[in-house]
Amino acid sequence: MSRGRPEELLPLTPLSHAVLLALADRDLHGYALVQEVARQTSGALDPGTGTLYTALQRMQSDGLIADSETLPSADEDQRRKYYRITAYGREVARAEVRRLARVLEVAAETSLGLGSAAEKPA
Amino acid sequence: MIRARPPRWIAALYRALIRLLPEAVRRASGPAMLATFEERWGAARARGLWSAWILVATELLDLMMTIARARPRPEPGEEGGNMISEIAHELRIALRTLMRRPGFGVLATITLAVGVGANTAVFSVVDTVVLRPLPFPESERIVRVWHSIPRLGWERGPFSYPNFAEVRDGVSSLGAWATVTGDEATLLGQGPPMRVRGARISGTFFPLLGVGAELGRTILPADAEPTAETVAVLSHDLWMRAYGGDAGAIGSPLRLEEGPATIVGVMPPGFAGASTAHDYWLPHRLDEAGRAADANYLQVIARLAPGATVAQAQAEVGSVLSRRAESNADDRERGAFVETLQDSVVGDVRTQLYLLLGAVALVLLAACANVAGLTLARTHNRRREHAVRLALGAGRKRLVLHLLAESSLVATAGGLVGVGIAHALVRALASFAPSGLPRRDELAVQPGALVFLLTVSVLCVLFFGLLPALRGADTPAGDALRDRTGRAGGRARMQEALAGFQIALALVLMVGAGLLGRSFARLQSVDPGFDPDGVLVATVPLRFEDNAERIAFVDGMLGRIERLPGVEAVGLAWSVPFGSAWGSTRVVAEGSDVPLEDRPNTQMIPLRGSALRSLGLTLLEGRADLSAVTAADPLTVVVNQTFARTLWPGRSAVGKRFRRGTDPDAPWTTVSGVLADTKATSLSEPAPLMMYQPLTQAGWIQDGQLLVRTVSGDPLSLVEPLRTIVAEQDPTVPLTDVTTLRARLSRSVAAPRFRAGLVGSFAVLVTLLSAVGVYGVMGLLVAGRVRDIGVRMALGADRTTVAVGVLRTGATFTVLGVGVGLAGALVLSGALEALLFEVAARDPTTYVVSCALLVMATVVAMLVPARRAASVQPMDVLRDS
Repeated sequence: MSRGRPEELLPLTPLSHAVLLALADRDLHGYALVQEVARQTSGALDPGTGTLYTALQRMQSDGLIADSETLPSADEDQRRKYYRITAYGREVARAEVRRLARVLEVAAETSLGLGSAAEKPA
Repeated sequence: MIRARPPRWIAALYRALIRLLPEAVRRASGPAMLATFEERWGAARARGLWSAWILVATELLDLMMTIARARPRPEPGEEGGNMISEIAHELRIALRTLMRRPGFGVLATITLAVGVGANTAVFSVVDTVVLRPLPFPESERIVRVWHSIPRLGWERGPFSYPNFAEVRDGVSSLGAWATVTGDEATLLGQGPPMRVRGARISGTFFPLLGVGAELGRTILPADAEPTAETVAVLSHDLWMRAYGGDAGAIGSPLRLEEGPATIVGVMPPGFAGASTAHDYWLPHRLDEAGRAADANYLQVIARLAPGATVAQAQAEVGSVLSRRAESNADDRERGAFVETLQDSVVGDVRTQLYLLLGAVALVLLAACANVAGLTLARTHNRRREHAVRLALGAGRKRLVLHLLAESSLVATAGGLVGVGIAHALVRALASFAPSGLPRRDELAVQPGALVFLLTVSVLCVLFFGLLPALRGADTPAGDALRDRTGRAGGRARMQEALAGFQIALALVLMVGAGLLGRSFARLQSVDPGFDPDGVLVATVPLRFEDNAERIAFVDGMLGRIERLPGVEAVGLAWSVPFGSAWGSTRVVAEGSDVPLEDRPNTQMIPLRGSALRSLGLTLLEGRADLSAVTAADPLTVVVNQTFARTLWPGRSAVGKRFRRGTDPDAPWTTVSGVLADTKATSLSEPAPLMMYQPLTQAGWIQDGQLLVRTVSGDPLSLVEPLRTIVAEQDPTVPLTDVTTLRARLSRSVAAPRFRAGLVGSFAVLVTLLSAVGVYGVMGLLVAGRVRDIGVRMALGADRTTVAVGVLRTGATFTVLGVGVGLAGALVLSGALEALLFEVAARDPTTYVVSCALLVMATVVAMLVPARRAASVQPMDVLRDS
């Protein structure tokens, strides 16, 4: 599969980015991903199972994630499927983080920046 | 932690939807998706049932959206797809079309689900309670034989042993016979004393029913011999409750207060007797004296001889009894009543259930009409889309397949949601139905009913979905494309007819609900004559040989209860209003020469303590306090107003004397006071004659009702202190049937409340459906006339005229619907006559109010389309054309 420059996939959808962040340091299965995404975004993002798996499928064909070698343990539901982030996925996620950092920098120069006058309580 | 799993049908639905996903996703992640869905369900379920159902709804919607968004696969022809994949493809496209404008799909699904669900539920109940044979072999041949004595007002009375023996030996159309006598006892030695209901049966009872024991054996004819050892058989339920399902119970003694019996068997679960539920069975052993006694107490069941009918049996039993009556002067006008055991179990519940079945069938009709109307409107609106498809070369087959796919999706979704509704409703019916509902333990959704009703609805949807489409397919494409005004023509008339039909159905149900509701309200507003609030009622067995012992026990108990904090008054009475026990005797006033058979019957209510004050009865004249009356005093009683008026019309009853029973030399009883009337068994019937007597002069009672009036708060909070007092007074005496007087009273109106509530919700449902139908048809009419309206406005018509014009069109089918509905209601309400209390089946108020409400709902449904018509911008329309 030919991979383009990571920047070509930006901006990531909030769900894809959240999934990449969730998988950054450990492999997770679908339900854990649902919980992790909800935790990361304080519940703002609560994808339906159908939406999540379609996104996972797309991210997999984009080469961002792959099936993990982790298999469900004996006391787990055997139908669980673990996912891992790929090296390319890491690159893309980093590129997205850089892009967002740049957004924050730009915002800081305007009245929309965090900690600017507009943000403070009156 | 073990998490709950979703109900099987939900998982199946989710799995079925996964199949519609693009193959890549389905292959790679199908099982994982289902697992995730189930895990989420478990987590949501742990938060509560509502969370779980909200999750199911959002997850299903999400999955459907996902399917709808998925890239369609290439046309099946191009990749040589087989039929399955072609259908899957068509279904996927149909789902996408439905999801694009979900209004139709959601409405049609909900409508179908409600119609099918409610009907499945009610039909399941009718089937279980009325139609399904009792769980005995050849149960339709088992009959109940009654002894009728019109003089006593008995159509269904028990037999005396001599009468039974004569009938048994003289009737050939009945093969096997058995007798049952209800029995009640306190079970000792298995934890705290427990009040249990059982029966004394002839040895032929179990062989006649044809049921065997689950464990051990049943009672056999030899066990009923006077010399046999006393044996007992337990119900599965009692075995579980008292013995924890221990097989060692067999052979151990069953300790009842009348004496022990050896347990020889346990019946299988679900068997609780022939007609009334019993917990234990003892052989009914009769010695010579018992066989000779003339008391009527035997319940008789029998099996029809081969070839014999119920009518033959009734005639034969009747002739034996009347032959016997001729030879016995006291036994005049006797007869027999024979009915199948099933009829005797079902009783008058049948009428009520058929009423519900009728009402719910109207709901299904309305639902089908509604979906038909929606489908018509939708097909019409998509005429151009279809024409374009045809013009672009889509085959007619393809078009039909597409509509079929849509209809089946809607029907399937409706059916699946309907199963959920049916399950919930059956459960609700089983728990809310009046406790008199026979066989309520057997209630469950009948898969047969579900399949049948679903098929009916699918056919209905297909018919209305396909018919117009086929006709549309015949229209030359050019016509349909040119026809931009979208004239509705015949289809609109069809839709108007459907809307009118729904209005008619709604009106019938509204009138029915209105009549039942008013009748219930009337019943509720009847003054029972006592104050039912704040009073605890409980049964206390009083099996004492000696009345002095009984009184000592009662006084000791009442004295201690009286000192409990929060108790205002406490007393004991043999029977309480809306209780089950009652006994009666004939009375005649001093100086009256009324013949024996014309003397009125009075209820006898022995009491002790402040029972009258606990009930909150009103003293009209004289003295109500009987506490000082001893056994040696002249017989003294307090009577109710009906008693006083019947025996001494127009005169004061205080100090008057009367005689009870049939003995001409019986001692006189003196009336010391007169109380206001109270209802006894039903709010709809007038009060019977009642006579309250001191317990000191009525030593025959075997149990009593404890009546505790509390100062405030929940009377049931006294249960524990009361139990303690009773147990300390006598550890073998249990306190049973603890409830409140208010609960007893409201149980008596449970059936009317249930009927009114259920028919009322059906009426609301159908009215909503018809409003949706009206809204749909009017919307379509307006959409079809936009150009006309625009032109008329351009020519000077004002907005009000336009809106009124639209409303007038709607008025036509509304008036027609109301007319048909009124006619239907007038005809059908006759069936309600017997269930109504102080409301005529043709009560004008109900009819007028129902019509008004329905017309209002219809007008509201028309307002939005009318406003849309009034807000047409003439310039836009003209520019557009």
